[in-house]
Amino acid sequence: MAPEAAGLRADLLITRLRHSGDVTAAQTLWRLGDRFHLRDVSGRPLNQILADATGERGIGFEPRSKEEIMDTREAMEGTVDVWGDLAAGKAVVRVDDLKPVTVDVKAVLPLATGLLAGDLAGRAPGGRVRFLDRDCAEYISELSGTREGARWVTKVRTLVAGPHVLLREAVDAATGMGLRTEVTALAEGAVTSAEVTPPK
Amino acid sequence: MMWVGGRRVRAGDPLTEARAAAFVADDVVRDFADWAEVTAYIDRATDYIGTLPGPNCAGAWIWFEHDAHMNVIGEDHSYIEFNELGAAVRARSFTYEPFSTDVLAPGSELARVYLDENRQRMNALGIAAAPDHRRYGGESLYPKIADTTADLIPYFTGVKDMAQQRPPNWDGIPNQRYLRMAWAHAHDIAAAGAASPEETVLVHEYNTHRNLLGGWINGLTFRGYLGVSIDGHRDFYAPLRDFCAAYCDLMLQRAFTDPGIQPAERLELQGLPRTSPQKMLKIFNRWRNFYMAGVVAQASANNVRYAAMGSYHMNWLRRKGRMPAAVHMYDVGPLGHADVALAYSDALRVTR
Repeated sequence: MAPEAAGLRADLLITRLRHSGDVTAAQTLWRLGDRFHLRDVSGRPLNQILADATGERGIGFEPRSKEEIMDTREAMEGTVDVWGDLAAGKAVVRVDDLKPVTVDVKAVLPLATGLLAGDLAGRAPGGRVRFLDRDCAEYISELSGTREGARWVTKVRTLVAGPHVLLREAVDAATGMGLRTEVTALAEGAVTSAEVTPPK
Repeated sequence: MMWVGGRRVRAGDPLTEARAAAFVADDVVRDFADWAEVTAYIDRATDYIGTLPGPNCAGAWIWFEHDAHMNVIGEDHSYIEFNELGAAVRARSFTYEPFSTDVLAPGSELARVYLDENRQRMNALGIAAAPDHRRYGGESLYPKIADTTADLIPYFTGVKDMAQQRPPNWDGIPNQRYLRMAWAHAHDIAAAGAASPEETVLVHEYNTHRNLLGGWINGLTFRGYLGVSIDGHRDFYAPLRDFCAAYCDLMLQRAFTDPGIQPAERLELQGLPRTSPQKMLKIFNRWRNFYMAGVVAQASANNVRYAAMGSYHMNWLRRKGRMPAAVHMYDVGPLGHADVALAYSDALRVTR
């Protein structure tokens, strides 16, 4: 994660596309130097939130059982906060107002790095579009693999403004199932230390 | 390897419990509070400590609370399941979400299919031969079967692409399992004779399509994908659509009159829109949560040691104020790529 001395605050909207349940999730990410704080208010458990960033096919959490299919279908009020400190190597996770738990920051780092355009370095953009009132370079790419003997291909559209990814839309080529992660507000230099500091 | 009271016991150290000598010599982690606990563990008198077999967190020593209050386990069904945890700690007193609270008539098709589906879990937890599995039930089967039939209607009408029920997507496996249960349930109703207008319609659909669909549905495997199994059977779509629609109507009626949930909950379900399969999914989901709330409340009142369910339901119960007072809650889902369990108290110790 690149240090940002002045900090960055981003509001994000995450939309599951054509899954069995299409829950929309709102998040806010604060980053300041080596520290970050992510707040997800979708009521989802942390493993599903992490799957937005780490899911094998890029299309978010994929339920495997009937119980999980039903569980992911309906949104629920609830908050997950994750504070990470790269220098300390630790992160603090708090679900609602329950007791915070300290974990290895590496386990939750993808939550903070999804907005970075680093993985696009050296690749040529396919076009330029306006998004969030900014000039963006548009990148089209693919992820692919095989599961249970079936090949999958995920088409990924990424809009990048400066060092930031403002939109990432990953859609399964066969079914249209996907995940859209968009920045709905971006403010640079507006983060205080308190906003990236976990509660004592 | 063995720790007692936080201190490593090494070869040559005096042993208060002589039978623990093997623990000192091997490389399995065991972390006991005191020597009395060592003795109780060896005598198989504990139900709150043990070693996880894996594949996830293999070798982890786990420890749960064991006071007068129930432990509520919130699992990720694709990570560490309670059949692993419960077997590891030798749990004998528990309720678990995949197990049914329903009265399933012995010899019925639905009972047979349900037991086939859950035999492996029941064997792991040592309850396969139990005379009454319902005491271990975490919820009713019917909301899940109903959800499947409502979920599948758009596929059989062509609104959704059946490709979503094929690999690499997972949905086709559970939907195939529960479609088979719906058919088994319809078989039982047909055999017993319809007792309501909704059952009459379902039996009509079952009898109408039995020759076409029966052999195929009864041959569906638990590990197969519906989208693959139905390849080459486009002619099944319309009959399955009608069957699923009839099953949904019966399940709505069952939800609205279900004595397993509270009268106010039944009224709430009746007030929800149900004009499309998509809307029915909400009813069936809420029906399920209401059921689970009742089971957990009863389990807590009965001093059951563990109530295990998906972490979603644990959070739902807590957030809706339906969690019994003073229970211990554990979220045993994965934390990204790290094998870490979140505990809402200091009670869950994971030693690796």
